[in-house]
Amino acid sequence: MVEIFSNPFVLMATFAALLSSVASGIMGTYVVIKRIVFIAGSISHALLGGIGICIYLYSVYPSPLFYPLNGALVFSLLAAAIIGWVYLKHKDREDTAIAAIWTIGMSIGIIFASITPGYNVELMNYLFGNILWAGQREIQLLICLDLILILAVFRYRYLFLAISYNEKQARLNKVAVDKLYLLLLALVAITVVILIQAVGAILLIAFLCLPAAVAGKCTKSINQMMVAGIGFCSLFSLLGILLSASCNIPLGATIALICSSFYFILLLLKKEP
Amino acid sequence: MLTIDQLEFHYPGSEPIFKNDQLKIDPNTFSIIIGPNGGGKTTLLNLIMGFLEPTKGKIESTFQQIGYVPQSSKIDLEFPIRLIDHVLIGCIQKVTWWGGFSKDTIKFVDELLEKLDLTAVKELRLKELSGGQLQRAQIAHALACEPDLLILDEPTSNIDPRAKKQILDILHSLKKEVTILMVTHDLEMLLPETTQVLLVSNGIESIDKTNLCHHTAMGLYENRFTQVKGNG
Repeated sequence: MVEIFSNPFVLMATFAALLSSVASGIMGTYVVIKRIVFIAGSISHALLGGIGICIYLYSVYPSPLFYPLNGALVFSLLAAAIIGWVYLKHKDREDTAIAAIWTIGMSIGIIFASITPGYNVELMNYLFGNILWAGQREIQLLICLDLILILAVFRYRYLFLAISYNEKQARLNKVAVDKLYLLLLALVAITVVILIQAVGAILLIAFLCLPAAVAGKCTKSINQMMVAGIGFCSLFSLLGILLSASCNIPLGATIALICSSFYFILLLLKKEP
Repeated sequence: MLTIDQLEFHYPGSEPIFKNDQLKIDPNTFSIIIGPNGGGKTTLLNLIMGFLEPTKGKIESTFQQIGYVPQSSKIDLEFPIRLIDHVLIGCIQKVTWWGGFSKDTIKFVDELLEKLDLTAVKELRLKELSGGQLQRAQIAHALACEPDLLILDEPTSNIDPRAKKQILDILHSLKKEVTILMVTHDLEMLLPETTQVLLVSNGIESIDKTNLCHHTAMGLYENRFTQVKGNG
């Protein structure tokens, strides 16, 4: 089985998966404890709009400006900003806004994909994920985004903890809850862009939330949860790569199934007091 | 000092909870709020803390920092947080530019935990604490911001008499340092140290504590309870 990793494509994919695991372990922890799983889901689907537009524009005007990940980043940040604004100003409408952003992004992606000439392999890769596709440019982007996440989370770790635990009490302590919430959503948006190559938009929620949820069942503090989350993500990714390469089945779906299986096995085994 | 003048409040589409009500809370006093469920006690606290806006009237406060102990049923026990971190985020205003806390802040928190007899359990998750420890943890979290007004919402509900006594002792030891406003259903809390008793039941009524005995309070309480049930 180990010889699978002698393949340069698999080796690059493994490296990309480990870098994705760092982002997933850290931000997945906040997504789970702040209970914003469906916001992450909405952002991950909304960014398909940006990818669709960029794929179309690149086919018309080939320019590095229109790389699909650039469109994904712009759309995911935009989606995060809109959902954040609705949450802060019209809290009772949040779930509707999440659903609206989810479908608007996907619809734009589908429309632009349909008017782009030829069969669109690239859009399929972003929908279902294909980490074997990761090249040097993707790895560099992953490293940069991971560094941004690590620095931001290190700087705001207690502030994010305070707003995640109890917003009311954080407000009494004069914490800038609204700004921090928007920053947290922006970081989730960046994470979603990082992970979309690994598992694809459709299966991304599983990779973002389930390893962190598994980690939360076995740890005491948020820091331990992040470290364990990174560990579980890396483990699930490596298992996924091995299984996918051995059985010739899609990698993104394999990783998502491994994450889900571990989560439910742990729920069955771990009895709550 | 906290003054409430001609307070009116109602939730959208509902009957008014407060109508032309007044209230004054002096510094370094110990006030308790009693009243039936649904009478507006928690709404009053939310108005005082600024989470709700009065429909009419004004609430003025000279208190600089409020510490808040919510009802135990509102605490998310599944949240993965150790007691020490829970208290540290209580003094989140002291977070340094690098995102952590100074040695002085950590020493202050350690002393607070010692004072509330929580040092031995500071590494435990909140869900691993007993009912009494959990309530003391909430008080430690609220005191960590060094408040001049401490608001507690039923801090002695769902705990055994020994733990209840421990909470009461802590509150009475704090009386000289901080103004306390506490919602409670435990009328035995009407101790000599209490400065003011407020009956909140679709309005605020200040009860003269000197003429108040346990039975009178019980009678008022039950009377209002019957009224609220009748209105509902």
